[in-house]
Amino acid sequence: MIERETVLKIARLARLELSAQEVEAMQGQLGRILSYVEMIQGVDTEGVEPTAHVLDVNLTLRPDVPAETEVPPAAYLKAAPDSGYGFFKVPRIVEGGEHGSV
Amino acid sequence: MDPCSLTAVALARAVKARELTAVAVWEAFEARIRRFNPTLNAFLHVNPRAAAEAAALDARIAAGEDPGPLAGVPVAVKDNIVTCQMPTTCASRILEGWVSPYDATVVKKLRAAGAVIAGKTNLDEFAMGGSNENSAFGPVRNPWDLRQVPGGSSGGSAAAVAARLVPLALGSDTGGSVRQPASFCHLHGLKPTYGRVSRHGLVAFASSLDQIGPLARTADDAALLFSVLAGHDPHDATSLRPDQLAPAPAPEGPLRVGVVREFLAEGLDPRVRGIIDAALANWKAAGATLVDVSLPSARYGIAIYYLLATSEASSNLSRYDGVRYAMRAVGARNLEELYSRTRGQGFGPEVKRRILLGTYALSAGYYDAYYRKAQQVRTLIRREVSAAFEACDVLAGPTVPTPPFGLGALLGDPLSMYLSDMYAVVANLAGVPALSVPAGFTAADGVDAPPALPVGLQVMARPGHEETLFAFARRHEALFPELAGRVAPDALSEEVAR
Amino acid sequence: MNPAVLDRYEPVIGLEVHAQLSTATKMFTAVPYRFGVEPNTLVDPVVLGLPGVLPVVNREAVAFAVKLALAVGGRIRHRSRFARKHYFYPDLPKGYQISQYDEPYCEGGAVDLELADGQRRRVTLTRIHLEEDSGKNMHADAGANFSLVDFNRAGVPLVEIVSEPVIASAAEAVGYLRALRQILRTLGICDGNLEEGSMRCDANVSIRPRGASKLGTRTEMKNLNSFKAVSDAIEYEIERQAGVLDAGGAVVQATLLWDPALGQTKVLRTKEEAEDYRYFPEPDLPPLEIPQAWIDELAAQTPELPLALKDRLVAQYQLTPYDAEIFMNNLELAPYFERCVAQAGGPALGKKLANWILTELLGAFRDTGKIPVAAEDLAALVVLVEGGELTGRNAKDVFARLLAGERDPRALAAAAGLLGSVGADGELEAMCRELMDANPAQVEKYRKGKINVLGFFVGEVMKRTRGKADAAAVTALLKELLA
Ligand SMILES: [Mg+2]
Ligand SMILES: [Zn+2]
Repeated sequence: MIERETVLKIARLARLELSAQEVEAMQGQLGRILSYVEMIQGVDTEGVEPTAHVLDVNLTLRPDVPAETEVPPAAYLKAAPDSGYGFFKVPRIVEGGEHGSV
Repeated sequence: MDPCSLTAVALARAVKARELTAVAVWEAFEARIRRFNPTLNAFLHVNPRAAAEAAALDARIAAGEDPGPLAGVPVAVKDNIVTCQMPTTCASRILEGWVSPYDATVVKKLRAAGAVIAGKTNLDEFAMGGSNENSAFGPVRNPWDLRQVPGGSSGGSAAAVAARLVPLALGSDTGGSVRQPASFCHLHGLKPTYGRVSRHGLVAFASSLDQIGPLARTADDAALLFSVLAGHDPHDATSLRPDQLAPAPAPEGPLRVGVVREFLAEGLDPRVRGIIDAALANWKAAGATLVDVSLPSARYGIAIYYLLATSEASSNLSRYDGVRYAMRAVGARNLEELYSRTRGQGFGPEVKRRILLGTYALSAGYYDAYYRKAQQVRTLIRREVSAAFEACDVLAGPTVPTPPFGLGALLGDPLSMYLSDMYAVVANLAGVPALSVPAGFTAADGVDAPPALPVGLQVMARPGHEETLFAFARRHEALFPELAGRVAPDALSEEVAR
Repeated sequence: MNPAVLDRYEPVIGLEVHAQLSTATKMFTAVPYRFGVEPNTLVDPVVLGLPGVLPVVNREAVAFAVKLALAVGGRIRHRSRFARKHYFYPDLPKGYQISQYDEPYCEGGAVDLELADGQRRRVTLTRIHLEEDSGKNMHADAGANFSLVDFNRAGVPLVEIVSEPVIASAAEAVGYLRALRQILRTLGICDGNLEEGSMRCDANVSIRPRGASKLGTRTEMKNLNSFKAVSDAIEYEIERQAGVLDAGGAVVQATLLWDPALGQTKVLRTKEEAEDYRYFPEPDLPPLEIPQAWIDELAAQTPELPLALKDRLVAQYQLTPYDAEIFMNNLELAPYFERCVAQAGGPALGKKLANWILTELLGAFRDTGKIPVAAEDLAALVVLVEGGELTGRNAKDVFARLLAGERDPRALAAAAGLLGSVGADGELEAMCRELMDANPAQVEKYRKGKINVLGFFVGEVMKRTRGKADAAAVTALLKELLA
């Protein structure tokens, strides 16, 4: 079992609305999985590099040349849940500021 | 000649030789899809343009053009691989109705090879699961016994090939999702070397583990499809250039088969154990060298797999926010509600569970203990696998610890479901290719007991050594001819359809 | 700002600058970017974060970033890594930004700057990393219950340049930004346009009592999109924090938003509400390799930095710091100047050439943005003047014809009969005597003390020589003859 508050906190971080039953179920299920994965804590990994990429290869870079666009840009707006004036529409952002935190 | 009983190799040859038209081939398979899919639920969409595409192909062949190595062969595509002409749902409500404006690289390659895209197959939502019960569009049934799961997450693709609704299908394998259904459905299923098949257009689950792979009834068919899929793609920065990894030819002479001690230990169903032991004994009798091999860190495989895969999934699935495409929850009064309701309503329980676990593992204060630690243990597994190949050409063992399990049997118990992939995840974590081949059937004893159920044998090879795996599979077919001829009976599907 | 505040408190300021790299295409996909076009037209599946897309790194963006690292003397990591930074915001298509985290491509380095009073400062850098820009959220009218999102800017390559907290005043901060902008422009990797957002600045500000060694609690100010905003916001924040401390309070760690219209900040979020970005290595991108051979190749293409150029012009050609700074601020003119010097045979004529460029040519250059006269022509003209073959006055006429697009000053002067000076071999003296003989009354007037008659004689001589005589020499000679 993990704390209800913990489930709520990570659900908020993940922007995931959960019903009361879901929160309760997650407490138990996540708790069981987390106690299972605890087994790795005992492994001696002193000085072991983490594997971020499984094969040791370098990055292939792309030439800076514009490509033809296959899809007319308007199609993306048309496929959006809500759009208008050439923009994607979302509920009013109250936080202020022109952009987030790049 | 019934096209549906032919292998893909034979079909392509017959279509090229104009012994069969692509249209006739498609019509035969389409008829089977119409007949059996209502029971199996393997397909989510059938390509409405397949007949027209087959006709166009016939016209090209008539005009003397080379139609490519998959001439007229219907290929099903797992519905987490994007296609312009059909929706891509990932078996999720959150993507319901979404149509990609671009084709995945593998889909382009299939078309260029003369394949006819048959349709899109069912899966566990966002490829998260081992039973195909986590689909928003209903579970898939195993054609060998409709009360059993087909495995997952590529359960729709596996069921479709096993029931001969198509000769070939694409699956995706993040932690066994091609090989485990191959094992459950008596098929060949390959998880290629990480980076050998482009992921461009594969809806990401866990980016450092995902690979697209073929599902087929014969070794040659799997090899044929793989040869079409493999190759560098400039749209995928993790796709290998030939100068980074040159594909290796199969070794000459008898194979040295490493038997992974930890894969024949605690947790293995005795029925599976018996089948694998018998298979290996036959290999030995046929002249193979069996080498005792140990992968001590493999026991941490599931733990680190679930930390890494869920962490990456929590990140990859952030984009489904109801802003730019697909589903948006109605009635959200502000941005926060828009996000959390869309995601809360759009994702199913298993996806939510994994997003939460991954978010937790990456969050402040836990990253080092979970994500980073798991990547370190992953390094240990890689080293052990790499060292094991010093003494052998392939590493062998069971694909799955159990035969297919019953629909609903593990639904309330995610952890037990996860353990189904305990042998399979090792190949994903180490990036090496792995193939599941049909190894045998459990005994069908008693009236109410399940009929004989398929069991698979898994072989892994060094990075880039897929040809070694296919060489193993061909010899395995030759060693066990009675297995190669066995197909799921049509009668079963119809029986329960009543 | 009340100067007394600075007597008691020492501000400690660090800047984070985002600069858009002016590559042809975006960071991770081959879509071009231009400012000010129709919204959501510079998009593709990668920009919009559609299912199944993958990032592919723009080689030129890496090259630009390396040039910057070289210019500021940073340590370039031969193997750096991209990472994902997570937060939900409508202008962030994937729910994460691809950035760099614990292994950025560049660490260290410094930017030198000169304050208005000529004092020099060195701002050391913590790091520079590569990342992608977000889109832009817009708000319709105040009453609307929706906001609008434009993804044109999303995915444009950025370098984020993070300074150490070593800046001591708003003036220094602005000086640093100006110097940095000049470096970016010199390298040709960013247009540095703050209004269009191609260069953006966040400031971390804290204060501590003078003499204290422990740093104060800092606040981070966002949205400083002009030099004035940077200056005003920093001064405002120093004063605000001083007010809090003076009143016995404690500064609260927070992210603030500067409102240029109101001239004050508002709290965006406090430390308690801080984002948990959940960084982890970007699995879609293997490590970025920057081999030494590539660095060397880029180093060979990297031009001299503005301040170094200024110092060199003063030392090498004895230009005044004022003149050298004009070259520093009009960067195309500096190599032109040095080409002129080379054509003119060496640095001896440097100062003269600089004068011609800064007094005669600069106006036309500023009007058209083009250098109107070929270096070899300007060099030839100055050589004619300094060699005594063409008078300064006539040189200006020739220059006017060069400005109008004609070439070859020697040929132009020769064709107009301006070449060669009159005065050798007693020719000038003979001409003066002839004039005096023809105008005895004027000679008489001069000798009686009406010395302005001299002007008449000089003018006549210049007319007869068509300006080829040296006016000063003529004046001296006439004075001698009339005496
Ligand atoms: Mg920052
Ligand atoms: Zn940034």
